[in-house]
Amino acid sequence: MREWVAILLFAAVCGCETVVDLEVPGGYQSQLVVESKFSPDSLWRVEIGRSAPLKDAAMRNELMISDAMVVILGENNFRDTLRQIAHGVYQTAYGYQPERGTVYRIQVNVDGYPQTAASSQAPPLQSDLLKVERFAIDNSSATESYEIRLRLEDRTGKNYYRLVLFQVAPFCRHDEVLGSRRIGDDPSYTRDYSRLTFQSSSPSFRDYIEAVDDPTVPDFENEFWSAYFSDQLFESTTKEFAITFEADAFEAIGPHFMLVLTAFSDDLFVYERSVTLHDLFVGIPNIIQRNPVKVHTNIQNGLGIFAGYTADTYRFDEDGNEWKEDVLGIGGDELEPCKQQ
Amino acid sequence: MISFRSRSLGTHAFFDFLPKKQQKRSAERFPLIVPFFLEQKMTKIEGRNRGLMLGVLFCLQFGTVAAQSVTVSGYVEDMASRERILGASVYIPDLQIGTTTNQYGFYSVTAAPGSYTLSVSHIGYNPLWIRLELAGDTTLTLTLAPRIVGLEDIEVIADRETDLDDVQMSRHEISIEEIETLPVILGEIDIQKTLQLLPSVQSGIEGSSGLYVRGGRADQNLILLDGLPLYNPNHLFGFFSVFNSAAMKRVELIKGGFPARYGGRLSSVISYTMKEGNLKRFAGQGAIGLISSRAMLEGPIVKDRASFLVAGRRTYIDQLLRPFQGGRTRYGAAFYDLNLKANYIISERDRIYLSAYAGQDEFSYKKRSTPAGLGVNSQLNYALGWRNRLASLRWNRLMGDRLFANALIGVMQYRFSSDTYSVDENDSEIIKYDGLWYSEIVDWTAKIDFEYIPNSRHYMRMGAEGVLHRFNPGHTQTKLEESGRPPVNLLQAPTEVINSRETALYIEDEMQLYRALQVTTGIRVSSYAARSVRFASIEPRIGVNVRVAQRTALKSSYARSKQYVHLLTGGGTALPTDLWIPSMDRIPPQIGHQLAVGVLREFRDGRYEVSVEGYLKRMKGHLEYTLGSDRYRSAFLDWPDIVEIGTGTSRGAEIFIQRKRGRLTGWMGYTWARTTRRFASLNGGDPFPDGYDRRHDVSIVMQYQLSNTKQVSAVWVYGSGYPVWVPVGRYFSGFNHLLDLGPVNSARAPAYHRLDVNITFKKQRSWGDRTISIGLYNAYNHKNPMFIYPQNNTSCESLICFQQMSMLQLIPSISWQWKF
Repeated sequence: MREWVAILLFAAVCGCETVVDLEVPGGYQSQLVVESKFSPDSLWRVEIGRSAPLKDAAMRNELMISDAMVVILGENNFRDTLRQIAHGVYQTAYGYQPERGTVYRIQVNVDGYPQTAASSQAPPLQSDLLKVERFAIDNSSATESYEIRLRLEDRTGKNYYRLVLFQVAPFCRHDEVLGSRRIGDDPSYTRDYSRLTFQSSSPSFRDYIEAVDDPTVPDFENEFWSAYFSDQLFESTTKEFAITFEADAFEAIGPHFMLVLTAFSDDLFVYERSVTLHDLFVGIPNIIQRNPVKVHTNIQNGLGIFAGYTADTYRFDEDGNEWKEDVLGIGGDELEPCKQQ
Repeated sequence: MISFRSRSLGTHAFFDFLPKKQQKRSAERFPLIVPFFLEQKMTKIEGRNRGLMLGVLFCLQFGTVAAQSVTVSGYVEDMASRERILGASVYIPDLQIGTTTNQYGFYSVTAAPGSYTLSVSHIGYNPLWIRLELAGDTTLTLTLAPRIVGLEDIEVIADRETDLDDVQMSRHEISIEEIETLPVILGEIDIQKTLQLLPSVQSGIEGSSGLYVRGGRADQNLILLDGLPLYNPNHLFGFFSVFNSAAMKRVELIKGGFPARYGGRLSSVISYTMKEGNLKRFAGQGAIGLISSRAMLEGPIVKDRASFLVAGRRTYIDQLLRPFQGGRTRYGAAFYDLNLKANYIISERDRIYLSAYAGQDEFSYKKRSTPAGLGVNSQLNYALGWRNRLASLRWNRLMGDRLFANALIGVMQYRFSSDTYSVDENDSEIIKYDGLWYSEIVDWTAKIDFEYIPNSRHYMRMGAEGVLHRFNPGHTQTKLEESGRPPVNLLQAPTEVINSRETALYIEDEMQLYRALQVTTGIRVSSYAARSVRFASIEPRIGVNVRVAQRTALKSSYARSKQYVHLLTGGGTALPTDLWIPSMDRIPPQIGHQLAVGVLREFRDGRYEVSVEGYLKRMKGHLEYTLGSDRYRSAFLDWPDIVEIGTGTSRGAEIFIQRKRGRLTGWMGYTWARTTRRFASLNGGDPFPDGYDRRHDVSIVMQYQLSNTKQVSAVWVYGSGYPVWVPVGRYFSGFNHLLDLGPVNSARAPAYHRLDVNITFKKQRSWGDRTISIGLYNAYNHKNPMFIYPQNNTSCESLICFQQMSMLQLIPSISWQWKF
């Protein structure tokens, strides 16, 4: 009986969605969009585009801008004018890479738009992988479990981090949601890795970026796809984290893992968080925040983000030994079959 | 039954009064009833103490000669329970003077000595006429018999004190009995949802109990329960209010022209008065609904001397969720209310009341598990909830026939908290985490009010109030114990605990200057001190009533108000996580000015009442998060740095047509309104529509008595669309498809309308009455917009389109009520 009452109540208040035609104000003024999430592991690379009126059906490629002047400025008179390598994509011609802890400034000039500028840095990061231990969770399963310990030296001030775990997998997963490795804007890794969930009892970890530091939203399951956290509970100290995970088993290749610890710049963290909240607003009725979410930008006279991050990447196999991507053939064709899905 | 007492003689007598049908026309037949009783008692007293009698007579005569007038005063009570009746009309038709009982049931009418008919009436009671031979000041307790509703169209009150004589404008009072027969969602009677059917009262999102009055915000309503303010009167994130109708006697809403005795809020006064408790016999009532049940018991502690009332309500949503739970995980959601009231008649002049309320919402999640490889013992307890606690002690004293005093002390606590406790333990280490976030307000209130009625054309009120506020807005305490590491005990609070003092003095003077002109003037002087900051305010209040015809009155009012507390909200519905914060440095008080004019006219001998009002309201000191601030997180971090101050303007016109008596009763309200806000960094500094700015609003409420046992009621509401803040542009940042926001609230949602119907079947049983209510919410199943949001969908013509989510469609309900 109670089940029926509950089902009836649910049916009574369940939602019904319909498309409505709202009158959107016209006269939209297009703005420059700058996008560069840089790290010391990547070359200087920036995408330049423009925004369009809401009702404009232009796709991403149509909104990219080809004739931009993009300049990166840094300490000690560093100056790099980026060269367009694809439609709307600009990259250093000299192999320059950002340095940890150095503040950089970007200037973008495009005819018909005011000059845009922004500043950021890839924050310093110091961590160590202390331990990798393998154990079986039960004899009936071929699955093996691992425990690893990671040490993090927290810098003074408010810092935000993310921990992600991957396993080399002999198939392609192009959809980021399914786990291919796309860290920040780095497009070079779109294959060969499968993201793993892991467990941790660390009270700092949150599975969702919008829940970091929110004491009213604990992580109920202690299981993480990505663990976002701040240094609120270990400010300026050395902190160890223990995580456990189960590995996938493949015939073609043994267990090879990659643990990535990322330190965000403030702007990048706020941006990522606002994008997540924005996505919660788009397509989902939101009782908590009726008004739309403004995506953070640090671009003067424009939209988008120019912000740095630093990632410490640990590659280890089942015995805790370090391995290298080129030896294993990551990014090449060695890990066949790799078919488009 | 009328109870009669002569103050001069100190005697007490009772007599049965006439049957209903004879009441009006037979008043003249009993001109000597009162003198007869006076004579009898005087004779007895004379025999016992002749000296005292002479002294009393001297005083009586002296008073009469000195003032050339005599006063009849006392209380109006319910015959069955001796519950005091608030707002009852006490009127002398011969002189066309009268008054209404105050919020404690007290009245005082002064006239020249003579013989008069006194008319006493109130909605829901049989009217009473009594012939008085007034020779001296007299204290008279008047009792009214509850009216048994029948098919007959009861014709009463030809000559009486009406709203036409009331200087107060923009005031509504709805009887609890009426509220209990109106259709409601899920059968849950909700007083606040009924108030939403009045002109210029918005609910916010559909189904919410929120009140947004004349362009005001949720925090600008002074919601009083037996004289003490409640900060969060909501359950279940605003879908139900905390007021259990079984415990309530009266609710009054004032939207403008605020009397000087009320202060501290800008937009409305909503005063709830709890029942006192039956002094004569034990009585009770209860109801069983789909998601909650309620019960009330009242009765004498000492008959005719002391009584109590206790009422409770609890939801069983947690029980309904049980079937969906399993394993080692448990979750639940529940709320409860508990009302308590007791009173004691110390003497004929003194009475004390104890009022208490406790209500709580709790959402919980509990899990016990063994994570793979990590622990042998893992548990997580999570609780999120909020609660209101309130207690007051009130002392009513009659200090003379014309002076009434009310003193009150009370304490109120509102607290929202979220607590996470987890333990993970294995052979080598243990991790204990306790994360607590809470926000709390505690108010200690002391106030005293005096009401002095020199004569029937003059009414004065004065008083003082002091409140000690203790604000703790957003306090995080995190404890972490890990093997091998020093424990972490982290305390975070954007501001420390703020103790503040609010004091106020007021005086109101209501006078009938000429036969057709009544004026009420008042002034409220308040001060507020928090930390090193002090604020002061002088708040003038003026109301004018001009009787331009026998059944027509023009009214106007002006009120200046100051509000020292703010609600910092994320912009959606009012949530318990919203922060109540006091005025302090960088956060000045809110200030409001409201000017209102209106005309009130009665038709068909008062059966119909039509009022038209217009208002203009200017407000400043609104608090809002700055654009782009992370509202989700801001409550837990440094909110003082991410708020800004703005202004608001609201104007509107209301038409309210009410049919008060007959088989068909109800009202129709229409409001035209426009409300704007202005903040320096929002919308480029330009004004923009408020989130609940609704241009047209209509509500029609009807109740029809089919028979003595059956009643049907219907509610139809229509509202033009709320503003929607829509994006106007879009762009790609990397592979993120993002939206560029346009002007604030520049689009409009589709209109809202629905019809609710309800039928009640009443039956008398040997033990009392039982009532079955069957209702339909949104009877024609209209899909109203509850949320509107952009949809990033390839099926949309332009990649982005807008989606409307409708909830609360056709919902049937049934409830079973009993009363004995």
